[in-house]
Amino acid sequence: MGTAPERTPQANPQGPARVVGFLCDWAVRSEGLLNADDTLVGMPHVTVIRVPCSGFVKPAWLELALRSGAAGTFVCGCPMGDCLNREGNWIMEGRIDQLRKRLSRQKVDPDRVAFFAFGLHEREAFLQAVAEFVNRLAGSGGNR
Amino acid sequence: MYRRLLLSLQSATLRLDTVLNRVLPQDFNPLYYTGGLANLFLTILVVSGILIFLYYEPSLEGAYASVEFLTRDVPYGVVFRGIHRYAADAYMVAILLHLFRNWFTDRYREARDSQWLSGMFLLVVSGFAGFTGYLLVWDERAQLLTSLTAQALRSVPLVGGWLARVFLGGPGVSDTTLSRFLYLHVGPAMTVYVLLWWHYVRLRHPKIWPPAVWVLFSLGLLFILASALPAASGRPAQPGATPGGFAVDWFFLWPYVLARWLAPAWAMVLVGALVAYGMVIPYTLRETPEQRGLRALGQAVVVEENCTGCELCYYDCPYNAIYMVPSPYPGKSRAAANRKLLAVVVDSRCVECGICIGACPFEALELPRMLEKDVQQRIRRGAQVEAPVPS
Amino acid sequence: MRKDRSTWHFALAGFLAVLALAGVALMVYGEWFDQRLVASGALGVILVLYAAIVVLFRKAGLTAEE
Repeated sequence: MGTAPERTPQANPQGPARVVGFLCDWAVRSEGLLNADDTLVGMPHVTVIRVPCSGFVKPAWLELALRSGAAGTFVCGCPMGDCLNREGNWIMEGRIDQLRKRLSRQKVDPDRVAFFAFGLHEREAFLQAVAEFVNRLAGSGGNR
Repeated sequence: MYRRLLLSLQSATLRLDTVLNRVLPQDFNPLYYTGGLANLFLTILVVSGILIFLYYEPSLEGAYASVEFLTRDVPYGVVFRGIHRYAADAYMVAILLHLFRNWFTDRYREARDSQWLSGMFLLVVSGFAGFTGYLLVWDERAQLLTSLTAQALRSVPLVGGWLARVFLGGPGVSDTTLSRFLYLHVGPAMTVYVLLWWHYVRLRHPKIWPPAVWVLFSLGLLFILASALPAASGRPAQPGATPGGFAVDWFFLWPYVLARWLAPAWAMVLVGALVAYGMVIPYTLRETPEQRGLRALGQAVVVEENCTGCELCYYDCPYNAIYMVPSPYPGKSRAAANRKLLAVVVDSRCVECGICIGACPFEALELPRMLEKDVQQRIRRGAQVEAPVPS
Repeated sequence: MRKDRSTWHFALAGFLAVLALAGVALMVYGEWFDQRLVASGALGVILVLYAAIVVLFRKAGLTAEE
């Protein structure tokens, strides 16, 4: 824990926490961000699915990711107030809040679900946020 | 070339956001609320305008004197006049920021042309109301503007003389002219609200107010401006006098600044051409989504057998593109068997954002080229891949 | 580190609040001695200061989003 996210899986036999994320087409520029298999460049344990708007994501999909073995899942939308579709990210943030409450009732750690908001030019901040999220998951033993 | 310019402008706009977001909390960023700010200033204009209206006398003799009375003798009259004056400028700034921001960030295309068109009308009507506001003071500047406008109108072929008569309320300047100007100021201001209805009609939860912090700041700024630089009239208008130099507010009056070099008729043609171009902007770019580097996922489709009529998509759709109609037949799934309503997507309003899909817990909506089962498969794959290949 | 920043934010907000109080005094002065532009200007300053205080509270984490 606390190690750099770029560490290779060899450093940890189990590999870092596996994460499935959703990234809005209009948020962080995705050119050169993803490998061919949808994983983040430099973070092969993080799969990112590009969506037309953060509001496209169903909370059920986030639950599906957790059930299928991901340690955590996140949605990244545009900066709050700047959604291309006006309120997709507000709606998504609200849905995630509800999902978190539901998860904690089911005794699942709600912090395994995160919402980020980054604009076109904020790739560095986005990658850092993802790295921190992954580290936090690893620290909390989220890799079940 | 044009496309590249637009793209770099978009990039610059969003970079500016990033800078502001570093200083301010994200949801306080004023550039995210340009429309709300315009509406705030419009409200301030209406309130202060009503107070000024109570003192205004629309006559050749009384107009200038009544404004001077308001400025000198009414307690805080000068402040209200100043607020009305500076709020008009701020309103215009906010409108233009709103226009350019939405232009540069592609928020006017396809299904959103209705907002763009109503916005252009709002710009024209607001600009006209701002212009007639200068006439009401009836000082030297107002007199010059009036004669320039009448001259320009007269130069219109066929209907020119009639237009000038309509503008002046008679063959020349008279008492009627001032009452006509008062109507031409207040009338468009009311038209703005009709147009705002059109501006909002396809939006669910339009952002019509900025955050409280910007209401406080804008009001405060207007009070400071109105006190530090009190609004004042020029010398009173005199029949037959040729006005000397005065400060021209190019913000509202740029066509008249142009008139220094252009014949008034050509200035009018130029304004008309600009407005006409503005109106067709959403239709000038004939690129397909693919050419713009976007994935065209297709408009949302209702899977009728699964729709339960729960209205969740209807509440979340930001463009009012989903209507709930009485269910013509029961659905197939158990949850949908007893539905009363059925969701229907209005194609002309759908922007393919997929927010309705995120809202639907019953798998009753799909984007045709990004189906739920495919997304689920990618999620499973992403969540399960064994030891990742080191990069 | 976050804590330090928020203390600083609160201190600045407090200072601005004191300034705003001075603005209130200025408003009273302006109204009393018929300096109405001073009074309205002070009102404007107070409003702008309050806006700044709202931002500072938010940055210090006292108020949350929406």
